[in-house]
Amino acid sequence: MNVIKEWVAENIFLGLEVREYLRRLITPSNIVAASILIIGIPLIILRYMKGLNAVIHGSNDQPFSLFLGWGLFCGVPLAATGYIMASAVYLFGLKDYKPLLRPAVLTGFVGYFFAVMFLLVDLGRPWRLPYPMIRSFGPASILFLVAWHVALYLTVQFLEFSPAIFEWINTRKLRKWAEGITIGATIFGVILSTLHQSALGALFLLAPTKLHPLWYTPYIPVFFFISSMYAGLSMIIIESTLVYKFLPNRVDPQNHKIIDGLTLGLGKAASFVMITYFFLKIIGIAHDDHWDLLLTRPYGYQFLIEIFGFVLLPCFMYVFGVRTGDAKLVRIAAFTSVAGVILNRLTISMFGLNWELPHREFFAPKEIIVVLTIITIEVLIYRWVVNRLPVHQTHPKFAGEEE
Amino acid sequence: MQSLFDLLTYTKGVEYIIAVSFLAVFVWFWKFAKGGEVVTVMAEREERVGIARLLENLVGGFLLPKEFYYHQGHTWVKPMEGDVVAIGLDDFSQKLVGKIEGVKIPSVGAFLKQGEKGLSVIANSTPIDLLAPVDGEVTAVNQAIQEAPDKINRDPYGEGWLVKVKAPRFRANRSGLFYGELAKMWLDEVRNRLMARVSPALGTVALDAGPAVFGIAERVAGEKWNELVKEFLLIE
Repeated sequence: MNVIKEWVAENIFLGLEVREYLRRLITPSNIVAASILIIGIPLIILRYMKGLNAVIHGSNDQPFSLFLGWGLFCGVPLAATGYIMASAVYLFGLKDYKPLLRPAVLTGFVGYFFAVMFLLVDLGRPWRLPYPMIRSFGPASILFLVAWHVALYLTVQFLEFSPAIFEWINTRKLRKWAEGITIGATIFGVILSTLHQSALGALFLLAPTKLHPLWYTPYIPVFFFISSMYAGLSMIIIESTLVYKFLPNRVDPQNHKIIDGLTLGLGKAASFVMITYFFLKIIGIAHDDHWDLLLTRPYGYQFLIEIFGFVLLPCFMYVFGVRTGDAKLVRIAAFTSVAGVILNRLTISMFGLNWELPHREFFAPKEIIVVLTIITIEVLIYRWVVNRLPVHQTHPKFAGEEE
Repeated sequence: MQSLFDLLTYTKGVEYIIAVSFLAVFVWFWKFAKGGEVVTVMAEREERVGIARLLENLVGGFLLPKEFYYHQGHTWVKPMEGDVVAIGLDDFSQKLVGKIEGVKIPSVGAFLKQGEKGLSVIANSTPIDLLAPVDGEVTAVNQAIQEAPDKINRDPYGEGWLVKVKAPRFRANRSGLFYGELAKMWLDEVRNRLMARVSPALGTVALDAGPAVFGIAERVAGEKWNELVKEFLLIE
């Protein structure tokens, strides 16, 4: 019993007395987070009590709200960090990037988990979540494979992250077992990601007349998959930037010295993917002969801003940053790239869907607050895990042990 | 067809033109991006130099930076400005004791005497005394390690410093400290004594390559780890 008490005191309360720990929670950022939760959680309860329209402006004309537009369509590509980094380290042998592997897997796991949370808020009957697995499969729907893939991939990501958990609770045998299955989990994870990243784009193949022609193309699944690659690479850069800045004590000192080099490497990889993606987008326009739409208002200009300002520009920012060794420029490019992916996904799922219909309403205030609330919970959970588990640092009791 | 633009965009062939153009652009782009290879190579060279320096400072698997003085109780001294010195725990002792859970260091104004107990760290919930390496008055205490004592494990010669001491008798104290080649010979001898405890039959076989593992005392001596620590840190 004493051992458990000591473990809890050390690993949950970070070695502090409970009162002292609670006192230290009172910081400006935590106060802001608490304020958001105090307003947002009752709205989530309202959603379940009164229905979806109590918090959004949903209709048949506007089928996807921010819950899915942000939570699922943006959340899934931004959570592509796990399969990208696992492929780089375990399949391509780029062991230099090992310090970023666990953070990437954690980002991916939390990202996918909260994509499911957003889905639950949108669906409204959370007890039906396992239905595609056990009761009512619905194999004619693309969402059938999305449901299966997300469930399996969450499991895979949990298994990939489990060595960190087993180190935290100090169980060597389980840790060894978890590491033994890592390569298999990685391969399985990459296979799953290839399909479900593209499947979210394939959803829109069902609606050729609804989605704006500049974004609708038979290549949309390919575009979703390829953009998820550079979204994942950019998110790893963003995640490491934020953690190294705001939680530097949770990072191994030697990692502080090498992070700029790793950032440059990630930026170089992202630039190659982005230049390919840019040309594919142009081919998509050529394939459907939509050149005349490029100079139309507002969607034509939006498309041009998206591919030149949020794909080609950050691509060259990456390249110039790599050439000059400027990690700061690469980081700015990462934020720009992620903004571009978000813009693309929101356009496809919301702005560009049913684009010809008049009087569409986006972003009800309560909807925005609910989304902010769930994002806040996500960030708090991520921070809680990084502050306790060996994510950015080696556990001292397992230091020097080969994985 | 009204213009060249119409001609080009009307034919399906424009997709193939774009695809072939992409291949040409990609080759150029690859070379352009690889122009940063110089920077990457320099970064890699710097990393290799850093690793080479690290290996230079490794003695039998333990870090022993050249610019420090070492007391046989496994504390180090680094001269700072004037007659102020910094004191810390060396790599051997932090690896020997394992994860450091807390520190008990004297407050500013307290006096230390060379060779006498003056500081302690807590590992496995047990306080472990350390011998002061110099005489002097404590002028500064590392607050960061009070909140994060594992800094001593992670960076024993940098962020893990314990106290700063005004040591007017440092010149005299130096005769009781190891430095340079003498420090290497001393640590070699300590390491061999430890190896003999790991397995007398093995002799100097293990711990030969790379950094030593962590929490050595507990691994070697199990429940009697505290006695092993006291033996090597020269605490009665």
